[in-house]
Amino acid sequence: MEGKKGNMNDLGKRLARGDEDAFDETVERYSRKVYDLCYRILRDRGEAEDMTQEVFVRVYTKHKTFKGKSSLYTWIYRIALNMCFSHLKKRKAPTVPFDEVEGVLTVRADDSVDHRELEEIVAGAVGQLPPKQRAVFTMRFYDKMTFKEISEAMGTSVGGAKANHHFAVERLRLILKEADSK
Amino acid sequence: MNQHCHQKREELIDFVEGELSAERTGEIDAHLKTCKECAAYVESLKRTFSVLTEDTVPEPPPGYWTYLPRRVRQQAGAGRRRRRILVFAPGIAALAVVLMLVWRGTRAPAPETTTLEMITAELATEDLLESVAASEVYEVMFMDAAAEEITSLDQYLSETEDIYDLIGTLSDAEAEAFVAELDNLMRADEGTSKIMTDSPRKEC
Repeated sequence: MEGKKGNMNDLGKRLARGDEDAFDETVERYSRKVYDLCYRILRDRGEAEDMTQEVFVRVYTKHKTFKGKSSLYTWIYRIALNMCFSHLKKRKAPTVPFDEVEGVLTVRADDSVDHRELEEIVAGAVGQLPPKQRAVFTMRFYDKMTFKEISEAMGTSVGGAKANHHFAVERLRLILKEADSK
Repeated sequence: MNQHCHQKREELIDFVEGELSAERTGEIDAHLKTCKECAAYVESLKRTFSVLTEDTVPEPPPGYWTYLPRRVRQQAGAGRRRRRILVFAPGIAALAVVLMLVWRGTRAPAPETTTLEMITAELATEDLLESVAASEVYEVMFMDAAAEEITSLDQYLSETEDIYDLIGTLSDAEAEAFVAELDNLMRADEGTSKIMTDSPRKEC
């Protein structure tokens, strides 16, 4: 995930010292990833925008607590995940009705269907996952993170992260298959 | 899919994700040619993953990324300033009251003040408090604050009715002298800032 690990560690050290340039660099490097993660968990653009800002406010004010035990990337992801899960508990997000997931695999084969409609159908399927499975699946499938990185971000074991991912994949497969058969 | 294959479902997910070694990938490839159930399962996974790539993330509004660091600093700074104001504001208000009492004690009672003089004195006191708050002695960093962030101080000041009541009891002469004294204080403060700004930097 982190190609330039030396630079990354250096960035984390500079950030922990309160280097303002390091903070700018951190925002530039990770804000997009954090926003994507927040959106995929919260499934709401406005909330994802607000949450991304909140995450970096936390990074800015708590930079001294970064000790370099994990990578800067997974430290920021962990902040984002905790804040998203906490937010979901408060808002009791309505899940997308199962009927809206209907016909997704058929839709995929039908080019005449509006692309936006397909996105909504897929979003409905992902929205069926419990938040933690959704988070693990997002980090694995979209961010291409290793299970070790995911486990660090989630605060779980590598095995736990892997199990969550497999459950998520299997569940998505069944949801989409079921929807397709309707 | 027989029981043996069923135990390998996790591995088939890894297979589709391309996470297995070349050797293991070859073995599974060979297996899929002979096991229709596993082949169907892998095909189902591939279609699922293919569809899931359609789950895109909407773009935030224009300017969101550009101004994100600034908004973060403002929000973080507002929180810090709010905390600092809460720490220093009672002290600043107390200092102002003490100054007022000391100043009044040196002067004889005088006739009632006019409304205009009262307002002038109130505004001057407010300026003094802001000036004191902005000074490096108290380390309250208002200088770079956005105007709306100073409203927290304004709100606090509006609540310090006792200071304003005190000002309201001043006579014309007292108010005039008080304003002049405030002007002197502010000029002295500006002078200090200028001296600090103009100080030559130590050469290395």
